[in-house]
Amino acid sequence: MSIEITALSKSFGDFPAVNNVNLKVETGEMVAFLGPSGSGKTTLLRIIAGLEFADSGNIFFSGEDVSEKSANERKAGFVFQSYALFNHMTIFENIAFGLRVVPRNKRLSKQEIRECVLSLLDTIQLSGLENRFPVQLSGGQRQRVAFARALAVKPRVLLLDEPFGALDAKVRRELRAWLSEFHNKTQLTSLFVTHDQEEAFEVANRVVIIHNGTIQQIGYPDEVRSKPANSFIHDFLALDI
Amino acid sequence: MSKKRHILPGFNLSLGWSVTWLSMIVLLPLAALIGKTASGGWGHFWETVTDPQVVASYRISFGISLIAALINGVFGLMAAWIFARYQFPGRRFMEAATDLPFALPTAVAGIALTALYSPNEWIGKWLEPLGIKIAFTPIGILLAMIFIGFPFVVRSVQPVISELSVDVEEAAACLGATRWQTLKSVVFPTLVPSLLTGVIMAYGRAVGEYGSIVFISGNIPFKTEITPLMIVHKLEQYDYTGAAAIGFTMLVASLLIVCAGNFLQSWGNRFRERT
Repeated sequence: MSIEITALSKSFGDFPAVNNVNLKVETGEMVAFLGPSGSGKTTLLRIIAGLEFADSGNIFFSGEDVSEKSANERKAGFVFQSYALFNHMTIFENIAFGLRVVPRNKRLSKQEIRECVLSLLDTIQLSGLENRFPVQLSGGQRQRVAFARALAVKPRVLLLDEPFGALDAKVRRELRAWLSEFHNKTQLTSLFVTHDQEEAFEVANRVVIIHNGTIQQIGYPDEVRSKPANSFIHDFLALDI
Repeated sequence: MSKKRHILPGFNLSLGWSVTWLSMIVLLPLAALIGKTASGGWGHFWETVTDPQVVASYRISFGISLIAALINGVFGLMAAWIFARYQFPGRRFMEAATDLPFALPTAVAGIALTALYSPNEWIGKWLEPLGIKIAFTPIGILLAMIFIGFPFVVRSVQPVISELSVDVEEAAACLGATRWQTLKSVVFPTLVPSLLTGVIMAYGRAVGEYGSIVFISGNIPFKTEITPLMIVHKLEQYDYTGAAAIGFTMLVASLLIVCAGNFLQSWGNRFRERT
């Protein structure tokens, strides 16, 4: 599914968090929003998911205007930095949640839900842990469960908000590789927010550099690295090198 | 023999003090109560606690307290939700008002309720023609019990609601859950342990409540007499062993309530980190 954003703006009081953003993401792309903290990248992602609403501008999912739709109508797969798992539910119930809240006449049968959850557990390499509770898993395992939960409802787009931010370096690299591989296999349109440029350049097809709520540059990783569009990007990229 | 080492210093000293203190403040009076009960002999004990008038008072105290605690569970949860989630003018004042029954002498509450609901008073005179009697009926007892139990529920649930992370509710919404489904299966289950704590505390408080009830209940034998009142009756007749016998029965019942409560809480907490 393609995503198109036109003239999107959002302020918190006097503070312009997102300022006149225009962006087109093609079907099957993996795009990273890269920028320092407070740059507005997370707000932009949340507006796309329907967790925040823009003051002006529009969002189109495959040409359909979803600007006024609520989060539960847009059904974007969203993965939080904090995992946001339901701690009182088992891993199985967590992943099945999105399948069970569907109205009865459209819901899958119990058996179908079970098969779907078990196959997702296999995909995230956590087979056999379906009866555990989230607190009994490691951080990396929890984030994989959060992925599976988001994927269970077959979202048309996957939105990842600093998905590896709370994990240690080793697990982060493993999950990053896993995510790349997963994306190559499924070609699910994905957007992810990060302040880690290594992560952005390694995983994403295209990188969007955001600063002060505006897009500074959109380009392929090599392009952005070799030809930064302005001095801010040059300095920002130089920080880590 | 090797001595077990604790990382935190002062374990023996603080444990010693806690046990001594607990013994003096809690266990000693309880032991005295049991001793006093035993001094009357088994026959006297049984006769006292199974006296029909006393048995009727158990039904009123424990039964109406349960209804009051359940009603407080519903409305206390609502109030806690509103206090924790919304900003509105007068919120601080309402929160302070919620705590009032903690501090107010219970007799004052009893007099105030009686002044409102007696047949010739402010609210009572409007309800009387409709055939609704509140003062001097079990409904009056229920009202008093709701009044004194309310803050227990609000105060145990509110901090938990304040600390709920919004992430999980947003995650549920992104998975297609309606607001109601999110509340029902994501938010509410995490509040159950604290809600149970609040309801059980409100229940325990209502069972033991005396001051605010005796004014509004009218103390009609077999109809509106509560168990603590039966104890006072015995004391007035200098029947100390009888009073102790009823007191002992209440003690056992309270212990059972507390145990049931702890069991329910650990069940409600089964998904939390075990340390």
